[in-house]
Amino acid sequence: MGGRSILIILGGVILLSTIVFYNISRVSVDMSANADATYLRQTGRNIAQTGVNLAVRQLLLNRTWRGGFSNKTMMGGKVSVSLRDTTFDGIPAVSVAAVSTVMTGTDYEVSTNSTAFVRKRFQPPGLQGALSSRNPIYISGTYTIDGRNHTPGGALIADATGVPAVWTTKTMTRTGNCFLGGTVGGVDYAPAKNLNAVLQNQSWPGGYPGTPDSVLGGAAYGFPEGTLKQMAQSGVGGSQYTTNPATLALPLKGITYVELPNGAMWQYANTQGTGIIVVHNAWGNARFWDHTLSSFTGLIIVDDFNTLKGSITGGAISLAANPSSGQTGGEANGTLLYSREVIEGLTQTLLDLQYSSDANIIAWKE
Amino acid sequence: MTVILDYIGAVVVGGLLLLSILGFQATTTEAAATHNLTSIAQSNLSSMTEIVDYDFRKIGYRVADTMKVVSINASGIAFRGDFDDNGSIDTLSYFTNFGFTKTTAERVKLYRKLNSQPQSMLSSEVSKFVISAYDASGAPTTSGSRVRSIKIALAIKSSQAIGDQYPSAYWERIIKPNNLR
Repeated sequence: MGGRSILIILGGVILLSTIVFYNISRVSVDMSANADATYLRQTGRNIAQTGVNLAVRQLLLNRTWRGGFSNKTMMGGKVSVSLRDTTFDGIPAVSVAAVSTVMTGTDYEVSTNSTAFVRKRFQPPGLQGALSSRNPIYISGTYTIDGRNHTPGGALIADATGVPAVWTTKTMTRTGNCFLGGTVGGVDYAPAKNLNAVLQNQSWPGGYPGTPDSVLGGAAYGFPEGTLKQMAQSGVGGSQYTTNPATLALPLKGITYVELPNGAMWQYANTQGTGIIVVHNAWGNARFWDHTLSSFTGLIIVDDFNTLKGSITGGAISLAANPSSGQTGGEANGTLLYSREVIEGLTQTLLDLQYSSDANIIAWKE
Repeated sequence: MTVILDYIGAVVVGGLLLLSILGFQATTTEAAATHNLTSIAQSNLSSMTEIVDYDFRKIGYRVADTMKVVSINASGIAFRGDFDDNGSIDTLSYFTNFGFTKTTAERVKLYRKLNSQPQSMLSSEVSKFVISAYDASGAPTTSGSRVRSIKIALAIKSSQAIGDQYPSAYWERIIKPNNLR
């Protein structure tokens, strides 16, 4: 074998080895790139979720915050978060959407989205009017029911975002010196001796709410059956639960849940305070009659609502299908003013009391 | 005589050199092939884990009740969520033709089935696919309503052997779907 032949063989071996090593090197690079891509995707997801969590924390501290942030640097990438009011499956919510990028501006840039839908304050679906009922409504005396929007202090806000004075599945009768005002069809009607601000013979898709929790929208809105009672029993936010209203401490705060015996009445109730008053029992015939001259700011959910004599700013709903007097309202001299700020603020408080920050998130979309 | 011995010596030395070169060549070629098959296995695995990751992270999305994980046992897992974000709840199931506890050297087929659509095979080279579910305290559970996190162990083994070795790739992750909180 001559020297030339050996050189040719060596040359061939070197060439083949070069090709093989190049192949190995290329495959190694591919494998590394694959692992890198997986890592970058995961990092991007982590950054996006972190961005959402940061924004959700901020949102829970300030419910009106919609500013978001852009190009915030963290964990080797960047994240931008935007917030907007929306609904999720019909439930009022704030969408917190994050877009993250890692290896920004390079060929390996990876972008990831993550969105959380956070519960927000809402108008209880069960409260269709300043006074809602599924019974004939009769009022006489010097009742004033104004469904126009008011401040918590009772000052009128003429922004046509109120509700009807009365909403009922039956009929409405007004006599005496009673005044009815409200918002119907986007128009504010000042209190007057007529029924312009009343909606009668209405129908309720899915059935009129029969329980306190269903007034707030039930499980879909974060209030499965028994929630209000459970919260009241826990005493959260100054809430009280009793079967004997004489034991209630004033001023009322949080949820005041009065569960009366079958057919019993809470009469001459002093409701000085704020929050939600529930007067309800398993038979749906707990009576709330002859309310005293005390004032209350919040929502009243009562089986059998009659003869309002005090001052309520917020709203009221009667649940009973067959009230003892056959009607809702009665002869009295009370004042019922609707306030969106009071009602929606109340639902926000309930959500805050009921849910931890994580549970305030209805859903995550990734 | 000396010349003859020189020739014999040259043949022996040249033969040894040639053999070592050929051996080296064979080794590097085998290494390249192993690398190649491992890369393919890894690539297949990462493609599959993307799908698995995508689906499992969406468990419970838009599901209002507690039936988010419908069933989880040795023969498969079925869970609910709005996987295509069209407003209607889907049921998605993963199962193999031998059950998840299969961890032997044999390969099984992994299937994915959405609602009543025909099942689709994700891979026919799965050598391990073990799913474990845990509740909020981290304890193992098979009760769907209690599941808060899911551990997935997935391995792919190439159907082509290099010698008696089958190149493989392995992936394991604990996923905590946000909608199971």
